Amino acid sequence: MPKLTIWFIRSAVSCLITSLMIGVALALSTVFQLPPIFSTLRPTFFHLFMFGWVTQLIFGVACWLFPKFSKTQPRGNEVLWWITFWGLNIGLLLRVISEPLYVLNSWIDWGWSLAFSAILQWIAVICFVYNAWQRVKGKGH
Amino acid sequence: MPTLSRRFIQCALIHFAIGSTLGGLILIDKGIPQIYPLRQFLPVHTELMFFGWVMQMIFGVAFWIFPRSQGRRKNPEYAWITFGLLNVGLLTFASGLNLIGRILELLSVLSFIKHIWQRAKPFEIAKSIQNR
Repeated sequence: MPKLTIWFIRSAVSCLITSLMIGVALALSTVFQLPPIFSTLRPTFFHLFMFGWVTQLIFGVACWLFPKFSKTQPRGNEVLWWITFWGLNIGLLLRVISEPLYVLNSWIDWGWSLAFSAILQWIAVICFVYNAWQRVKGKGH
Repeated sequence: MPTLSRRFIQCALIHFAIGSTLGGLILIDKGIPQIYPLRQFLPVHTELMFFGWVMQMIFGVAFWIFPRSQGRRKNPEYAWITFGLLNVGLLTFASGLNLIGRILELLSVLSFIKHIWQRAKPFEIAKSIQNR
């Protein structure tokens, strides 16, 4: 298993644990009176699960198991893979922090941070699509 | 990687790129709400990410990796029907015909189950070792 895949999978598992902890907090907020920040965490929970866990796990496994790009570059462009990893994780972390704060109308304008997190995550996706596309091939190609 | 898996995965990547672009724009619009109200496209974004990206990627990899019988993937026509119905269903849903889109997606899943059910078994080599 390549180092990059190990990083993807460890990070994916961290997102899963975090999302489930937020899930527990969301469930508790339906039973107990909790601070208003908890009511803003639903999109955070959802994206940590679907993007941080499911999608990142797919990234890691695809990086490992898809047909080799070439003998010299088996996984394609390594730099783009690392941009995918850091773009996804920094973008997601930024979203996790700024989305609840933005919704609660804190004194800092978190809207720009939210927009920046969207751009980082989008760059991660496009780099992945570029790398993965070139490795989708049959035998003898 | 067989042709059908390539088609599944290529379509999954296209849906992923479009769905993420839409999702990114929705999030930017949430943070800086001067742009055209994009939140109305949230169901399309969700649809592209769930069915277009995650599910189609799983179908493509499952068709490729699951155990074969004597080197052959039995009933591949059902998997091809899945591919057609799923993508037509997705486009139908995204164009606003939600009910028809969902029915086509359901039929595509049933067709995939019909294909994959018999392939969910131990690999033949492992099985022959177990039987010794």
